[in-house]
Amino acid sequence: MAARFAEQFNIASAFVPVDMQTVQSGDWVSLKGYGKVVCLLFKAAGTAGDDPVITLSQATAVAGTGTKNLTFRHLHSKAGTLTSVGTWTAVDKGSATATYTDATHAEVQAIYAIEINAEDLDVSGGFDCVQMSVADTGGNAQLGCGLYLLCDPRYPQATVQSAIVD
Amino acid sequence: MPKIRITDVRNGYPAVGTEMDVSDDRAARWCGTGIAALVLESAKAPEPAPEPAPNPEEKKGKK
Repeated sequence: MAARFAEQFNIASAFVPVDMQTVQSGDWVSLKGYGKVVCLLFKAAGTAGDDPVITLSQATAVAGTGTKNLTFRHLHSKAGTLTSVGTWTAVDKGSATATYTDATHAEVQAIYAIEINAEDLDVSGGFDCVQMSVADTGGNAQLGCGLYLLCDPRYPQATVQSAIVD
Repeated sequence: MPKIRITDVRNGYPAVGTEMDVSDDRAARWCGTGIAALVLESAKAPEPAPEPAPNPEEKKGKK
């Protein structure tokens, strides 16, 4: 029998659906048991100028120990009326930084997927945890939520291991 | 669009030193709360050039 989704992947919450007018510091996930995490932001349309600023950080423990930047250069996005957007747009920021924002996305629905491999972290420094955050978007309502899709479990099993503990 | 530089360590915000173009509203808010400092003010639209004054020589020629 083919392996089920939950036997190969784990999903963890960065932050639940919320008005992103206030800063959303995502929960931390550990890549000790996974080879990759895809950080997903799913948001509703808001007001022009209130573009979400996504920031990735890395730490040595899920308590956020030794937090520092986690840079990335590439991501994928879908923006617009999402029921009409069928394919991803590949985004190359031109250089690796820890932050991403698009100046025209506040006013549209959007999904962002940022793929981080475990080896992208400062492994030699003991960094194995990832956090996605979104700075406060502005003075107008803008709903959004953050999820972590954890892939490539190092120890495949009927119930893949937790990513929210060290 | 103004450019700001993050100047304060706050969880959930870009790292200190990050420079970014933001809306006027965000620049005012983040700079006002000490998260960031303004690097470059929003570029203002250039004022329209004044209409050229009528050339008196041309008028004379027409007469």
